[in-house]
Amino acid sequence: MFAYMVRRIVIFVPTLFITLTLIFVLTRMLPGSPVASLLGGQSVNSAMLDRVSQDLGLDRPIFVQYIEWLPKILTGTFGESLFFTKPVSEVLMQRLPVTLSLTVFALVVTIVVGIPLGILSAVKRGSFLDYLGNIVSSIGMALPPFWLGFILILVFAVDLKWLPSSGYRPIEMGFWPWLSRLILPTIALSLSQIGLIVRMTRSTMLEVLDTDYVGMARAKGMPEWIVIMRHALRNAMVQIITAIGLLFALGLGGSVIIEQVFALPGLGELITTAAIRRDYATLEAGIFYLTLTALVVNLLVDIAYAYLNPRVRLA
Amino acid sequence: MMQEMSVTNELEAVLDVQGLTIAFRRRAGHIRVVRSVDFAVAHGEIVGLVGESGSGKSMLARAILGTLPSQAEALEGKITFGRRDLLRIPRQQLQRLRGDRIALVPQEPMTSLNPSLRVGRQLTEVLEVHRPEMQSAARINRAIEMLDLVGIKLPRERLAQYPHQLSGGLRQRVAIAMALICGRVELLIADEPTTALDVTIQAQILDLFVRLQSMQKMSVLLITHDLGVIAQTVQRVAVMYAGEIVEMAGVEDLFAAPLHPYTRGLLDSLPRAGGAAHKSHLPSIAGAVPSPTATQRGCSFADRCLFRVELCRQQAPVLEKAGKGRFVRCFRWQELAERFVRSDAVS
Amino acid sequence: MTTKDNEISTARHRSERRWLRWAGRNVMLTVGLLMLILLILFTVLTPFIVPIDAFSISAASKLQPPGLDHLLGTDELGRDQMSRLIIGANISLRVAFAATVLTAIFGISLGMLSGQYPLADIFISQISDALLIFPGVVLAIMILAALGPSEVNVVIAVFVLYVPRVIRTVRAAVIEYRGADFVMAARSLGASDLRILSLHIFPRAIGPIMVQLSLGFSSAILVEAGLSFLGLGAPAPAPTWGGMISGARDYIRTAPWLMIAPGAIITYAVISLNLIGDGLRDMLDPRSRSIGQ
Repeated sequence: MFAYMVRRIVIFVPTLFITLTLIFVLTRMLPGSPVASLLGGQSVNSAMLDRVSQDLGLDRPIFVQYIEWLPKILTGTFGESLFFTKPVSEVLMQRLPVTLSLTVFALVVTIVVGIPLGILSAVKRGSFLDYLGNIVSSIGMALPPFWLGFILILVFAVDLKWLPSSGYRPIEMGFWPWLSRLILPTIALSLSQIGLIVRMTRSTMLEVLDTDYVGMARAKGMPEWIVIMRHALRNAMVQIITAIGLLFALGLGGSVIIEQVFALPGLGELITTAAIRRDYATLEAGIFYLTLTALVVNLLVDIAYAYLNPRVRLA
Repeated sequence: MMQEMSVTNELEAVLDVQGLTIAFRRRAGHIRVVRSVDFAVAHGEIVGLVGESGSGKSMLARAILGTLPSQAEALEGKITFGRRDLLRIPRQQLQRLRGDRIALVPQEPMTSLNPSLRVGRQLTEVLEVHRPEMQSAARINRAIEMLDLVGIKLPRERLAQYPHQLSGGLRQRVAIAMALICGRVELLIADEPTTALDVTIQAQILDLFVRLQSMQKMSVLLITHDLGVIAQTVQRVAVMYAGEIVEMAGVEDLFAAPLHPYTRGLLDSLPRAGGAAHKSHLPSIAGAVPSPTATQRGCSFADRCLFRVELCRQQAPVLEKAGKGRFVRCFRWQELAERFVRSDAVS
Repeated sequence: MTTKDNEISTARHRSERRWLRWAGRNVMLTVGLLMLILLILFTVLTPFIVPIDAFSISAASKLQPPGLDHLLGTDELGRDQMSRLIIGANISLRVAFAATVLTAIFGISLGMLSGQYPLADIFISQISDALLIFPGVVLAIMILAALGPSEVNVVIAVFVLYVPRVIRTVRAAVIEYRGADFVMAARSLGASDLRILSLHIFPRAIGPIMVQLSLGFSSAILVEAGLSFLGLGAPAPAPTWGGMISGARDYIRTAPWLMIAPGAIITYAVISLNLIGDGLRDMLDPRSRSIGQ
């Protein structure tokens, strides 16, 4: 177990580097990146052009740019963006809690709703409940989340006026103001995740329920609920845990768009706005933070998996 | 019929199967995999159930335990155990019997233990359900006792281990311990208990069965396709083919003078060292087990039988008495009997 | 009727019934295919039946609710919604199709190379896994930020997003079958690598690949819609479905029909493709079914 953990953490570092390199390559080396298009559409004088060039190091050879960029991004000095008065790193730190609130809340809802539904579908396979679950999860996965967001706003904020339609209140300003603004975005974000996890849980449970050891548990005279909980589910959970990392990554990806819909000032909204405005400094930094979060969560999930699977734990 | 089926001593049968038919529900209709089977197991008897894959023997075992797959059902018949019909009692009662009075030793030791539970837990949970009066410490002690009984060294250490840390032979011993742990087993069903094990381990496990059986005074139904296993372990044999019992006899009688052509074919195809028959090749039974979907009119073995006649294809033979405790399902058994006496019988 | 006519008509009857039985067994696949065909026919044929005009602006007829003149109403510039949806369908289906075809070609070939040759594997796997690290559409956003919004660039972005997954699946299949008996048999008969890959391994792996591609197609539609919504897709005045939703934002209270239609049709398209994907999966592995037998 310990060896596994060490190995896993060690792999984290090169992975991080590869990610950074990719970010660099994709934002700077693709055609269409020069400063002119960066400021495309804005009327600027040549002095500003020069300054931006220098700032981003675009006037120097690519490899040199990379070497200089790397330490900057690793230490969090992302420089200053044209569009914010504060340094980018500060902006990022402000926005991180918003995104985390949304994605963690969505993850919790997904797990709490999705896994039991998946288990029920598997146990009552072929029944009406199973069929219904299948349909609901199919539709949930097909709805464009951003569109769902607007529909929710239309129904709950505009027509029924039960919930506010947009914006974010940090939790320090009160629990309900914070929560009420997260409910609709979370539903929009988590619906497709729920569809996914219901299916995953169902198929894993079906596989497990088919195994020899579950059959053996029944042959020993174990009551059905023990068979399902202690024998089937325990083994299924090991596999389902690995899906949590995937779900979180999906949540992060989805939050990018949902934040736009509900005007939540999080990392995602930052990234999309930066992308449209070609604010490369912010874009790179935002993507880096987001991806870093995903990597860390994946690392934690892998460690949790190693702990839960006795074969790995005792290796 | 029931009294006839019992072995020579007049003990009441612990298990009495009468006219059992098991079928799978398909859109086109029912596919019968066990067809009107009658047999019984007396107290303290070891009975062997022999058959190839597809003969229905495993389904029979599952029907007795009440763990038939959902697409299968018992269409007709009775399974009497302790004055109750296992097919008709409520599920709760059946579940209470399983693991306590009727126990199973499964075929695949590598996959029949839960990989995420410790060995000890898998043993004590059986006691938790069936012997709720036992305290936690008593359960642990009993588990250690059982592991010791089945010949596992350092039982206390084994309790804390996970299945993947044990070899196949050890896992099978654990399975046996699990089956017997409540101490009240009346019928132990062993479904191919040694098929997945090495030959050397096989012998040890079979030996264990025989010892435990005499110690615990329980009945054993040993299901296998391996006649060698039968010869070593059981007292009485029932041979199954295509869902029916085709022959039943005491083990010595069966090996000395098989009456059914199928049994004869099975015995012939056993390789034997220094056999009197100087055959250069190993005979086998031509053809294959008929698919349960194919409905035939005559004897189900007719296609592969070397001794078939017209009648065999037109009518299905019934199980007839052929001596003390012997039954055969063949029209021609009497005339073939002389031919089948074997000069080199294995004892 | 002569006996020959009778025979022919019964033969036709029998083959019709065979199709019906197949459809009955593969309900999801059939429904999905029908839905998709319906959508394609709608987008392709309607322009021939009814004149559509997705671009003309008319201040006079702006923000009209659905009615006889404009079946789905008009937007804030007076453009006919229905026409815009049809052109939008063209765009979405085109983009998703192109991206999927590219993904298939590169994904399968790179996946096979990666599975077969360890040297290639090092490069391909590393890059592929690295691409998969980025959560969701972030990767696509990065690429579009660099390349600029256009239909072609969306295809490229979606392609880069999905090709690693296909590479992974194909690679896994090649690795799984590499040591199989039939491969060793073929090799001992002198078959070349290419022959083995294409004639032996590929046919067996085609199932999961098809499932993934069809689900990738439906995801491509969602991703394209999302990117267009953000303003990174084909630029105005192209009537992308996502763009239409974005445009309808400001009028959500006054003209809700502008918001509802594009989302509904996206959902319809995605459901039809998901049904096809699920139907294919069920066809390959009946154990996971919940309906039917």
